[in-house]
Amino acid sequence: MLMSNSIPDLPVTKDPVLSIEGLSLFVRTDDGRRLKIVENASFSIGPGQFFALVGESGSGKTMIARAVMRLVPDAVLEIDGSIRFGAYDLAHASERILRPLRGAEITMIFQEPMSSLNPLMTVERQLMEVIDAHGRFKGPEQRERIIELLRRVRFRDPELILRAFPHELSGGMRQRVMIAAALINEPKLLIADEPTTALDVTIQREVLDIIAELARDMGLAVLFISHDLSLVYENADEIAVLYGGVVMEHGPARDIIERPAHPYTAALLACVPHRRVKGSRQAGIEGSVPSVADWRQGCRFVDRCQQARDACRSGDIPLVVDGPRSVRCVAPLLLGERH
Amino acid sequence: MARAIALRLLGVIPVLFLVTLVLFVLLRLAPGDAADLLMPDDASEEEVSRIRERWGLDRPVLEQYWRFLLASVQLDFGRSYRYGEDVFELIVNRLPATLELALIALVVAAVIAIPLGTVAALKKGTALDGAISVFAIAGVSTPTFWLGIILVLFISAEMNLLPSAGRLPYGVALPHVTGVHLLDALLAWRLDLLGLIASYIILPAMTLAFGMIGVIARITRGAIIDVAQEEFITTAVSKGLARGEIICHHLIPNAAVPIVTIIGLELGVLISGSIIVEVVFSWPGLGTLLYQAISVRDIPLVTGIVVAYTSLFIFINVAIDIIYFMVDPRIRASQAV
Repeated sequence: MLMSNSIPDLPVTKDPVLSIEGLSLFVRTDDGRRLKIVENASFSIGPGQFFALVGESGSGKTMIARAVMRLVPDAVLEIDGSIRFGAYDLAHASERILRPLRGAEITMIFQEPMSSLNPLMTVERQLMEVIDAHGRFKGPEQRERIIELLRRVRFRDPELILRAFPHELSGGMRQRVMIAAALINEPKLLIADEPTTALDVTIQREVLDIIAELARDMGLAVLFISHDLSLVYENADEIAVLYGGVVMEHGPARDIIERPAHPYTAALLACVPHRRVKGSRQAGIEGSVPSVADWRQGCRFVDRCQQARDACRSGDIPLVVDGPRSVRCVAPLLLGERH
Repeated sequence: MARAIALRLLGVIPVLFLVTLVLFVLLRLAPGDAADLLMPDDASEEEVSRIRERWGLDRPVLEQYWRFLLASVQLDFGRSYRYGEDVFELIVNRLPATLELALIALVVAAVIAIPLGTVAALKKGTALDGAISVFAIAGVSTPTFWLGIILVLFISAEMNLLPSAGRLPYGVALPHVTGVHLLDALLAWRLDLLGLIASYIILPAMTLAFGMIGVIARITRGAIIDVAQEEFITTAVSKGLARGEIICHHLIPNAAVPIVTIIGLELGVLISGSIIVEVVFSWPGLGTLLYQAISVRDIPLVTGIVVAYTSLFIFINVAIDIIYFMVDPRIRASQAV
């Protein structure tokens, strides 16, 4: 069983901002197949909470992010389960309900700042249109609000940035413009889909700090998608580790980082450079994420797991809950076994 | 930007030089020259050679070409053999009719094709998309002359709905200012004539536009489908923008560069197509003039008209470049250096 002592104080999550229950996602391919890419995921994010959803590419994390905002056409992505946001179930909400929420209550920033801004519009127009679409600021307030947000994402000369076209800005600057656009209407939930992955390492930290700082100041709930545990462990309150479309481990961030219970989480942590033991080689995880077409019974990580045993290869592995933590493993690591 | 446009306009010079050289040589390679053609059959060999001498036709081709170049930079293309009038003036008189027809055909084609292509892209894979595709392919593969004749036969001759020839009926006087009838009617405030003028333009303009509609609609569809997959469209959706706003502000402007490009290329088709359409509908423009000039080997007139068409084509392309500058700030930036 999991050790459950030393639980850190969690933000009170009585009324979560976002609550995902039993979420399964299916992609319909052109040749008519229906592939399950996320299976039975559940988690919730409270006000002001920084929630990191971590997994390798192909784990389904981006699809979860896009499902929350319903950015993928129904003809392509089928959603099972519920995505509760306030009074709404986003999984089954109509466009009429979704549109006023998008850009105002729930906002999103993307992985590729180079392509997520319209190349033909000035920054001012791109910020103005999201204000205009929701009518929370009117008249001269609109421009003031834009300038204020550009300052808060650390532009020294907002007037200059307003007149710029995206191609005149660097990747980091564009991502800051995206953050400004995402926060301008004071949303309740920000979804950040690998917002720093495409940036230079030196800029990554700054952009992440801006997101964390503004989220704290605004009491914003953040769903932060990343493949990189080392990037999120300083800022995240909670972490869910996704592998092959399944939540493998979930719990308070510090707890998970210090005592990973799932061998996959432990392997991910071993990849983080500054955590590795002196003299040892940079670790990687052998093999790759199984493609959705290869899913079968048992644990999806079994072929890459050093702790694999017979019990891992059959049946459904349940998510075992222990206090604030849960893990999907027949033989979770114990505190003493890790090193 | 002004510099970039000036450079493009300068590029006209070598193109015109090459076009006229090729034309000059080709026209003179054909057996028999203008003197043979124009002198009466019973003229003596001596009289013909005297004429040849007078027109400089006995000089080497390159020397003739040099004289032609010297004269043409002063817009002197000589006199038409057939009409006896100054070639440049003949062209200037006929050009407005051609421009009016071509521009209206272009506007009609764009106004029909761009929404059709957009709808096809947004409804990709549906029956509507299929129907638009069939219409587009029909447009591309219908020969202009055939469509023109069919329209004349059915709409004019059979149903008597629209006139089939000319620009205006006999006896209707329109003050000549620009030579573009719709514009002249507006300038003279003869609004009563607009409908009449339009009734003459509709059939030839539709004939000319039909082929372009297919091509422009297909390109628009492809361009919109490509842009729809761009990440900034997802951004626009995630901002909660209305569907119409996303289409008009994000989708179509970003699809504009390929659409404008194909329209520019289609203008070449438009110009050559207009020659046939003008002949079919007896439209008194450059096309009919060229047709007549070729049939009587009126060399100065043919040369002049080809120079006019070439210049027109090049100027249109410069105009397309200017549209690029207006649409895309990245192109503006790359040309500013």
